[in-house]
Amino acid sequence: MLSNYIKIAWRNITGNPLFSAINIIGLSIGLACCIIITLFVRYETSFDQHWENSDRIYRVTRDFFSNNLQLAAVAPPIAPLLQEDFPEIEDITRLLAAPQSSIRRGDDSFVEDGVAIADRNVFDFFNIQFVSGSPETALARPTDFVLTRRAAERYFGNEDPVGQTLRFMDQVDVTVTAVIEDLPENTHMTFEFLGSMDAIPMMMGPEEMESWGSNNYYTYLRLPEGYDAESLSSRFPEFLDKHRGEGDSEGNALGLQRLTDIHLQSNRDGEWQANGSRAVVYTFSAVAFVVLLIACINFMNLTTARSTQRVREVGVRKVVGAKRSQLIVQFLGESVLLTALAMLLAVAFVEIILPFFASFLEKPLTFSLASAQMLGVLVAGVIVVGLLAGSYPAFYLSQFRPAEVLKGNASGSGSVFLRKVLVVFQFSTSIALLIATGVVVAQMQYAKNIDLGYDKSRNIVSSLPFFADLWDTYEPLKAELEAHPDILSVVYSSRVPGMRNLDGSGYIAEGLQATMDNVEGISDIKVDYQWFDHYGVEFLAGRPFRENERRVEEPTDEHPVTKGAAILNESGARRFGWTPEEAVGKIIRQPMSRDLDLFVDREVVGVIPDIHFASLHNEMKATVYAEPNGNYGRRISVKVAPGDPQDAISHMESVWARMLPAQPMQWEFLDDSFDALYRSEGRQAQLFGMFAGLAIFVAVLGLFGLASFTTERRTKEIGIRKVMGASVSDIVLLLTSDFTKLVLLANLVAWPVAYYFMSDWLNRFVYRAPFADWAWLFIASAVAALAAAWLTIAVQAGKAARSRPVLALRYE
Amino acid sequence: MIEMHDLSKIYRTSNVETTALNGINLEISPGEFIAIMGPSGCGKSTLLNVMGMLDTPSAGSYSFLGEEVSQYPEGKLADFRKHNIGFIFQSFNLVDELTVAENVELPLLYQKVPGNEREQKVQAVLERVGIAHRADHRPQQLSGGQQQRVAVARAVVTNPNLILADEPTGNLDTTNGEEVLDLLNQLNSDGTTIVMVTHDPGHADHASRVVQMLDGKVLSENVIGLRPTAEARHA
Repeated sequence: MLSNYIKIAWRNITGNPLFSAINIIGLSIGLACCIIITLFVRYETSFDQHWENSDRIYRVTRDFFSNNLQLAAVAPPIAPLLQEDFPEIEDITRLLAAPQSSIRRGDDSFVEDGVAIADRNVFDFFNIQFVSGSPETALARPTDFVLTRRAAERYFGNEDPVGQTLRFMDQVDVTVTAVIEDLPENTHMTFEFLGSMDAIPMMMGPEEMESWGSNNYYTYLRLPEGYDAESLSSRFPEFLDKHRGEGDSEGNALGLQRLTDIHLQSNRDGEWQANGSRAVVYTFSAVAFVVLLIACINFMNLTTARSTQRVREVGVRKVVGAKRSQLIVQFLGESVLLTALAMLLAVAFVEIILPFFASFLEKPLTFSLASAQMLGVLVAGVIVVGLLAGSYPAFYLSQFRPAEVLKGNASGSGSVFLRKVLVVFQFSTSIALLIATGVVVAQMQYAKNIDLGYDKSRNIVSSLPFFADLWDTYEPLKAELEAHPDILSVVYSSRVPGMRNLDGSGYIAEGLQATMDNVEGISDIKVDYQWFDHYGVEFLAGRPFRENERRVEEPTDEHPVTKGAAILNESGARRFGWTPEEAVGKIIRQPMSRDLDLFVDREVVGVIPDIHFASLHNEMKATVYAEPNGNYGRRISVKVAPGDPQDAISHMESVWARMLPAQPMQWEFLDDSFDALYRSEGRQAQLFGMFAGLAIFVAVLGLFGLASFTTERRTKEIGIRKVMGASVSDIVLLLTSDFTKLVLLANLVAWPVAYYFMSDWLNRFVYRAPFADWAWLFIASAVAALAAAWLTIAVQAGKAARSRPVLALRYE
Repeated sequence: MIEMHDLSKIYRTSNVETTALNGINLEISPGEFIAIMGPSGCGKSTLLNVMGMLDTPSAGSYSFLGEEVSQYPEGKLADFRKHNIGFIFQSFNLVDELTVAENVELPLLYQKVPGNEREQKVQAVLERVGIAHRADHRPQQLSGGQQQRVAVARAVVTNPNLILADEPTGNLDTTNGEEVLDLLNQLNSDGTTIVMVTHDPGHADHASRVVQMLDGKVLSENVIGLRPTAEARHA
């Protein structure tokens, strides 16, 4: 019996090449989409799962309420204090990311982004394989240094790096004690070099490790098996109040997040690198499923539409003894066989496309048929999809009674209503996807074109070395750079546009008592006095800093209050309860000690509008602009003249090499780094576009099959109409009108769905493209879908309309 | 073999009620060759469908081989059908995707007859109807007469007690039609009961009894004495 089923299934497939091709191609596209997205989802959900005891490791986080900061890293003293206060914590470790660190071997110096500093027990948490050396001794001393295999090859080639010396940050000679395997890609961390946490006091001063303000240390703790993390984190407010003073927990909070949740669920300030997104994983999974569903619907529609050709066989089989269940099995088997063929084609598609897809997403996705698990998944996929796609046709076809169909007047063709519903569904999902793509692109355009409040064009940004006096480095460099005719201006700032500002200080408004309750935590940025002019920032009130306001004396016991200047943004003025005009001349008092006995009184000299410093995901925050302070980030912005910047860049590089040989220059165009903020959305838009295109293609493929079948069925009617006088265009209109109505109806379904989901998506941006920017997409998508459908149907309709009537009538 | 008492079949749609069979009383003994005749729409095919358990009566009783089958569910009817009844249709109703041999084999598959035995039976019956030389051809490659012979072979391969033939010569020319009738005669001579619907009085002469129908009722039953053989008819 099985061979009879297989024979007849195969002969049906080969005997109807057009319909078989449509089904196989459509299903293979859907299956290929699902396979690729499954590989993507598998990769994204695998992050940090491979570390030993990963289910018991948590990262400590810190939130500051007043300036809405949610930090991925915390201050260094927190780890040892947590260990002391909570004996149930098995162990705790810290890592500090140190990008833009210089490493020198002999005469060769490089600026490396992949440097991290770690506690010596870091290998108890992250069980990386050692190529040489051992985890117990790798970071035992402050000057110990560990390289990954890739870094070791880069610096030492085939030489054994262990025991060799490197100069770190032009400050410390470190000794390579071990080489570890490269970190796997699927972890939230990234580093190629590991230095010892014990070196920090040496390099940054002993107070650094006691500073509660230096929230840069990724802190991980391990809990015992089965321990409820919530019961630990619920005691953190108490912990903060104990070590920072009563009431401290009202201004900030510590939290715990699972190590394995970081990649997909954490988007905090100061993440090690850009994480993935659970929403993206869900969205693309849903979209791939939709494409497959459209292909399955094609199968259902085409099979039931053509059921006239199969009902006779159903009648015959029932006459000679088949039960309905046997027929259902037969038809499901045919659909599984067809799906198996589609899967073979899908696998071929995946093999070809995956490398491009992986490189596009910058993820190491691999596909191997050698894996038993993968083969199992593919086989299961064939069965599930085959059964799903074949279910309705199998049940529909098997119901026919012999008496109805064997007299030669079988009229089975499936429920026309259901078929129309399915076509509407296919097109409405495709249209919705098209609209979604358009909205993502519209938002990106909006972000690119929005008035940021400053002019970022023609700016090259770089970082000054950290371990040198700021003014000794910055002033001479600025003078030499500005000597070049193509360099218009050079300014310092602690952050450059495009960087999320995580720095902040406390300020007390004029007229308020100097108590902790009156201290407002506000973001602040340190800028040189020419910064506002450099970036073309207009003032709402007051003026920019003057040159003599660049330096502020530190208050001391002898002089507990010193004077300085400040510039606020509009939100900042509002925070203190002032309009821009009211703010000018007011004093904001900056406490410089925890005991609130040393202050800098800053006179507000100007107020600027809120400017989009970071991406449109982030709200423009209340900000205080103050004079340069080398303790924070040290960025310089170099504005070049219009035209080719090459001369200016060469001049920069040569000046830098001469004046700052210890730290090779690394620079980028500000426009590029700003665009990188939206890289993720850009990729999403392209992927959406691809899927939307595929969905439309598969839907149109199905429509082609249906139209082909319907036209064939109406051959006699067409012949008669032509004999009665119908023109070619009359016939084409007749044949296309039904489908045109369906596609128009599909728009009515798609529009509200697309509007709902895309409005929700846009809520992720604090500043979003207004509806007027993307309203036209609804019409455009409708037109595109209609054009695609019409072209598909009209070609066949035209062919049928132009055939000779006598052929149609003779056919009957 | 067959007993029908007061059998009726009514088709109902939302607007129309059609009485296809109206109080049919009919008995058929084993070994008979019955011809059912009547104008178009008189209920001949409906009667055949009910007789062949392809449809169920709306009222009345139908007893086959002593069993009352009128209210049997579809599954049970299918079982009864496959073991006892063979069908021959006007439009042949062969499966285009199967070869001649595979078409004939189909009923044996549903009776779960083992492979070797199936092969033997199919070969035997193909030779019997004179189409063995086209065993590997598809129906589309055969003439009408040849296709009907394949249909006859399919109907008899399970050795049924009863063969129902609904206008078996309707789509055939005279010569082919006669050949098919000869086959039916031979089957009947071998003891198979045959019930045939026909328009052609000449073909009805091959039967031992003619049942005339009109408007869903049996009008009359004429017993035709000794049936003339094929040679006698053409002498």
